[in-house]
This record gives sequence, structure tokens and C-alpha cells, in this order.
Amino acid sequence: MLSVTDLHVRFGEAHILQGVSIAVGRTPLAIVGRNGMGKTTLCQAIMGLVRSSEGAVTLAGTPLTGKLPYQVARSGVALVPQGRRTFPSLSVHEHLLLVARTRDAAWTIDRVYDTFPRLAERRRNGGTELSGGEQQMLAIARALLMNPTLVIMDEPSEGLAPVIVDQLIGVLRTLEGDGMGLLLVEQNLRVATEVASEVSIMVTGRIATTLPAHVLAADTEIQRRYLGVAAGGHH
Amino acid sequence: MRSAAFRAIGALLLVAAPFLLLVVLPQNQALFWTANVLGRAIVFGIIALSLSFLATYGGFISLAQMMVAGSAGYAVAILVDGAVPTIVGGVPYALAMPIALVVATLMGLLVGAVAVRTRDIYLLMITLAVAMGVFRFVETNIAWFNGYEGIRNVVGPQLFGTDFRNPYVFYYVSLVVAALLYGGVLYLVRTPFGLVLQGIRDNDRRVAALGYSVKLHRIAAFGVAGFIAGAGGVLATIYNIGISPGTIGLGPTVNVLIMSVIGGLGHPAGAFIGSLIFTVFDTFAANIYDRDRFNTLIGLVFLVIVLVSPDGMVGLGTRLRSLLGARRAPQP
Repeated sequence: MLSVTDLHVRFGEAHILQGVSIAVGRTPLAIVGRNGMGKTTLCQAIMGLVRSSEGAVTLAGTPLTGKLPYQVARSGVALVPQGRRTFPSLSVHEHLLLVARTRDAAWTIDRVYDTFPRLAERRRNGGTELSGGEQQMLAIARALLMNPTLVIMDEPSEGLAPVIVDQLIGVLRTLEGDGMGLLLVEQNLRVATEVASEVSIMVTGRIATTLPAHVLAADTEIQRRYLGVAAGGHH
Repeated sequence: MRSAAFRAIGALLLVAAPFLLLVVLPQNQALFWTANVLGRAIVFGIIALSLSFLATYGGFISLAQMMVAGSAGYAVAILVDGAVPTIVGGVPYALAMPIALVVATLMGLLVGAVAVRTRDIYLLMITLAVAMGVFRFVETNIAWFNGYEGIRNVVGPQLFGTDFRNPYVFYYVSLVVAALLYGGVLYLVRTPFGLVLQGIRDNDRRVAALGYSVKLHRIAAFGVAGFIAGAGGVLATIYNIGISPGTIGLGPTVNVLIMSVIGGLGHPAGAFIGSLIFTVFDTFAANIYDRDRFNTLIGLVFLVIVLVSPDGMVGLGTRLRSLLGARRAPQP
């Protein structure tokens, strides 16, 4: 579905992405890594929000490299950005109206309200008058309503209460059934391993290794080496 | 519910204003107020509305709106029958006015396209530069714009067998045009196009990532604002019985901004409130203080309003209402 080949991003002297290659198929792929390893830059580079200096990004064979962000979005990639970035000026319902284009798509405003009843209750509230969990649901709903081929989520569990994280995992697991691809960037190892079937570990702008989720979840040695998390730290 | 009642009373007052004035003032003064204070305030309010629309919903402060209005005014003056001097002439008002609106819309699109990559102070400067460039061009071009003197005798069409410049005809036509444009703006900002604009003001990168071209939407917003300004420009030209470069000079350009800020950039209604306050002071500065000191007076008024309420008269209203509400709330 999504294929990233030898992608490089430089900010002046800083070489942020040093040849990243990933492939997202029908099943979700997670990328984990410590802070400052280039995970967010990778999301932005795929989206066209930052320019890559080398490498290629294709979605189902269509090249995305060099396209503008709105063109990438139109090609079928939706990004749920880190920090959620809901609009202060728009109400919950207006956020959804902004992206809902067709009535007969898989995701409609009605389905969003069915899936996230909390958003239906708060439909008249402004985008920043919501709790962190509600804002995250709104940011995700906004992406799903675009009915993209692939959703990229940049640390969706950041700052959420554990019970909300469980709810989030439940929603993310349903996306595969809709035929929607998912690239999940996470610091929370539990979210990454419970949602994705494969996990790539990113270290200083490169993919260090890719392994099945259950292997990573069980292997505390790998966790310690690449992520610096203590054994059992994901409970 | 209460605000709906307020709105209905406000609308009724505006419709009845010429007759209410007749009750409280002698006839010649009532006519003067109808056309030269209220009518003029509405017309300039329309031009200020074009700026308020851009600023409130898109966050774009454009100083080119008076020039865009002037482009519509010049289009009418150049085309219509009876203008002095005749430059093209021979075109009836019924055709010249729609052409003028098209010209203003195109001019708005052009300004939007030129300024599309700038924001904040740079947007302000580049729109000012375009406006002043057009101003100087018009002032020195004799063949098309009759230079410094401008074009006179643009009296407007006959309407219902009456002169367009009849105070009542002028007032009600302006009021209807203003109401349509005001309603149009309120409608437009609830459509996806309007939501995208507000999204651009909040975070333009996010809007792009949602699949909308920020550039195209920005340029289109300037086109819409150009159309609004054009309607005001046509009416202003008929009000002034013609147009000259002074109409789009630096002073009038800044005045539009002052009107919008006095009224408040939080809501399009602010454009008309600001324009009314401005017009009243502009008209009566001579009686209150001294004609030559108008700028001092309006400057002081501007300072007081901005100091008391940074979001203008609209913000003042909201603040008073919440103050009253807060005082009433603790009572059982």
C-alpha cells in the first residue's frame, strides 16, 4: 500500500532521516523509537509537510514524492498529527463538516457519532474546549472522514488516561476491517504491539529493525537496547 | 432567544430610520441624516465589511480593499452614459454595474494572488503597496482615468421612476445591498469554504494536510471580498456623483481599516457599527471641534475604543452582556 524507499530529510546541516525504508500493507505497521529519532519528521515527509532530499514515497504505486500536502491528502493519505491540532475556531461538528465529502463512503458523520458518542454530546463545543481524549477522538474522526487509503497517526496515545488509551486501541483495531491502512507512530509500546502486527524500531533517522509485534512485546532485551524501557514497563 | 429579538428590533429600526428621523428632526435635516450619515455609513460599511470578512474569518488584514472598491467605481464611471468626461460611455447602468462587480472581483483575486505567500505585517505591506501603485497609476493616467480630476457626473440609474440619488431610494438600495452581503457573509462562513478559511486562520498546515489547497482558498476569499468591496465602490461612486484618485488614496485606505477596528474584527456587524461611528464623527467634527482637527478627534475616539475594548464595539457589547449576565447569575 504505502512504500517508502531510502528517504532522506535534511534540515540545513542536520541529517534527520538517513535513508528510511518502510512498507505498509493491509495490516497496521507501527514505528517506535525514543524522542528525537525522526519519527514525526517521517510522518511529515510522507505528507509533504517537509521536503525530502532523496528517496521516494509511493501509495499503491502512485508517487507522492514532491507533491504538496493537500495533493498528498487528496491522493488518500490522512495524518493525525502529534498534539492533535484541532481548530480553536471550529466546533466539533464543523470539524467534521469540513472533511465529510460524500454520503456513501465507509466513514460518514453519522458513523463517527456512533463510534464516538462523546463527540456527539459535544458537537457544539469548540475544538479546544475538549479534554485531551476528546480532542484525540476528534482528530482521529477528522482523518477517518477523509476515507483515506492510509492513515498516519503520530503518537495518538500521548497524554491520554489509560482507560482512554484502551478505547483508542479498540478503535484502531477496527480500521483494518474497513480496508484502511495504518501507520502508527508510538512511544507507548503497549499501544504499538496491541494494534500493529509488525513493529519497526527507529534509531537516529534509520529503521534499526522490524519484527513481529508479539516478538517485541515479549523480548525485554530488545526493548532495553533500542527503547531504553525497563522490563515490564509497558504495564 | 433574546439576541434574536435584539436583531429583529435592530433590523426594524434600520428600515424605519428615515421616518423616525422625520419625526424628531426638521425635514431637511432628516434628509441629510438619511442620505449623508446613515446612507453613507452603510455604503462605507459595505467596503469595511469586505475587510472584516477577510480579517475575521481568514486572519488576513488587507489594505487594498478601498482600491478594489475604487476599481468598481472607476469601471462604472468609465462605462456609463452621461459621465464627464466620456471615456467609453454608452453603457447603461444595468450593464455597467454588473461589469463593475466583475472587475472588482477580478481585482480582489489579483490582490489575493499577489499576496498569497505573505501573512501578518507583510500581507499588510504588500496589499498597501498594490493599492498605492494603482492609486498613483490612476492619478497620472489621463487617457483612461482622467488623471487627477477623475470622472464626474455619475448620477446612477433611474429607479422606480425616481432619481437614484433621492435620499430614500439611495438609503433603501444601500440597506438592501448591505443586508444581502451581510447575510451572504454569515451564510458563506458556515459552508465548507468558510470553515476552511477559519481553519487557515487557526493552522494553515493542518488545512493543507486535510486535502485543501490553502493558496486557492486564500485567493478565492480575496475574490469574495473584492465582490463585496465592489458593491460598496459602485454605491460610493454614485453617492459622490463620480470618482477621483483621492477616493482611493492613503487616507481612505486607512479609514477603512479604522472603521473595521473601531467596530471590531470579531464579527462582520462590526464593519457597519465602526463605519457609523466614523461617519458621524467625520460629518460633525466641524461642529464639535474644528474641521481641520477631524483626524485628531477620530484618532482620540479610536484610541479610547481600542484601549477600553481591544476587540472594538462588538467586543464591548459582548463584554457588557457577560458582565450583566454574571451579575444576574448569582441571584436565586
